[in-house]
Amino acid sequence: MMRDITLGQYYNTDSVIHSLDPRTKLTLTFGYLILIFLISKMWLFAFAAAFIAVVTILSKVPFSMVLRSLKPMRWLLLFMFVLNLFMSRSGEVLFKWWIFELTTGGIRQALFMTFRLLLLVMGTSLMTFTTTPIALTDGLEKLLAPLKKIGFPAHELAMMMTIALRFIPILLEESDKITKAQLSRGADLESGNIIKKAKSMVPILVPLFISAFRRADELAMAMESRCYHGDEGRTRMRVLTLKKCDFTAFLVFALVFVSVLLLQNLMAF
Amino acid sequence: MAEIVIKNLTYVYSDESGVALEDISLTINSGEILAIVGHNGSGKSTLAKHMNALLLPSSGSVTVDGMDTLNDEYTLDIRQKVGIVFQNPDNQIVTTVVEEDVGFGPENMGVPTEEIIERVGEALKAVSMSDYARSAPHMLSGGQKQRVAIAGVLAMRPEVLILDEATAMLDPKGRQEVLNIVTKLNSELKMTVVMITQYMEEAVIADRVIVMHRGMIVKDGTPKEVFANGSEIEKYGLELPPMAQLRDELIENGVDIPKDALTIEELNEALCPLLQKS
Repeated sequence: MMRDITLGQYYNTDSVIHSLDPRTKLTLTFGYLILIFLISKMWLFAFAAAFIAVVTILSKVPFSMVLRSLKPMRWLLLFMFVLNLFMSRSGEVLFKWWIFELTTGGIRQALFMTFRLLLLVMGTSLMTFTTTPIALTDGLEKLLAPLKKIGFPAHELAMMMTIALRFIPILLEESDKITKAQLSRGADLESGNIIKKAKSMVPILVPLFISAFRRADELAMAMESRCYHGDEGRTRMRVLTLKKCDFTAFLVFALVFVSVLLLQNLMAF
Repeated sequence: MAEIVIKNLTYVYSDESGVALEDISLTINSGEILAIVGHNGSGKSTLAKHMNALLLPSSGSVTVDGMDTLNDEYTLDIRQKVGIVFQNPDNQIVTTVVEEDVGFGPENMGVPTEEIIERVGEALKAVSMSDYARSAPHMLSGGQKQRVAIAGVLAMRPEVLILDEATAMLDPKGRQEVLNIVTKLNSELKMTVVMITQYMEEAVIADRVIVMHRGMIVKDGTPKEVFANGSEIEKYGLELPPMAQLRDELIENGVDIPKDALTIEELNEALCPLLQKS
């Protein structure tokens, strides 16, 4: 049932954004997050939204896909909206009932937080749409490499992510197999309340974990057999190189970043 | 060329649950195909893991090209020279893209990038998997995955290739694919092959067969010698290869054919003249 799951949400096509170095995309996404948090005036979000729209067009990822990435967040967004609606009490009181009080400040605050979250999710989704998980892992390893000096296990972390990515489809398939095996033995996985349902997961999880440990053991053996001995003296088959378009991307983003902050501080409204 | 010399090797499990290998002495000559057969728990996989320092002897010694596995300075050199392909193809492929996985060994050895790419291309070509270089391993068939695993070992340019029941989880087609590649590697690249297997018909293609039983080597000879006598092999919980069983039954029924025929071709040669006569 889950054989063809796409890992992450990579959208396979050729575009300028796709061809950027994963390090560039990671750094710029991080910069974008900072920018979103620095914006304190609602109308400036229009610039961020325009930026996202331009990047989306350049990346050739359909708008509908970017919007769909918001779907899993809908309850969180709603929750944030409602919470902020009643939390902030400033400005004119529009409506009052029991302990709830709706103010203009509250509406402003709720809209502001929702926009912020929307833009955050769309921005980070765009990165995962245009970068394969494995490229992300490589980029992360390279970016975190300087931290190795203070003992941060950058290589180990990246290796763990790679192995996790490799084994997700295998374990999904296996859990599917175990579920069917338990169903065929008369296991009831559907009925009952939530606690009963959780309990009925035990006969699936236990074999799955045992198998995962066995796999881990065998994989470790196979990796050692192929001379794996950590990061020391290791070369890479795929070397990341910054190209001209990466520098252009940095430049463009820096312009957006600075102009948004300038607008925020210079404009009175 | 690599020669593996095993002297009085004994291996005791660390939890003292028993002796896995007892006083094994064996020399694996360069360029030969050696099959190690034996019942479950006979110690054949344990023996294989000693050949590239994955396990270290409790007593005795294993040397590869004169390098003792107990000396950890040699560990990486030994593992480069002696590659193992394991039973479960899923549990030995490390990354999510075929060509990157094949490059994993050379990366660990510190081979320069351009050479890794060259080696990966060669290795994938040797196992006829070049078309799948950019594929995801979980989309391949068992036989294909096992060929990728072989390519992963080949990219390290080893001198000895050990197949630790590498065909056990494959369908007949996948098994044949793997065997064809192994025999090709042996004849074209003069690669030494150690084949650990439960399938006697695979052992037939070897130059030499070793039978293991309860951690000891009980028989060592050419396939013809080892599979000459069914009752002796059965003592160790094994069966004769199918063609040898047929041969014995024919002889029992008074058909006059050579006692050492092992393959379809040999039986064919012996039987056709008889049919023409009658």
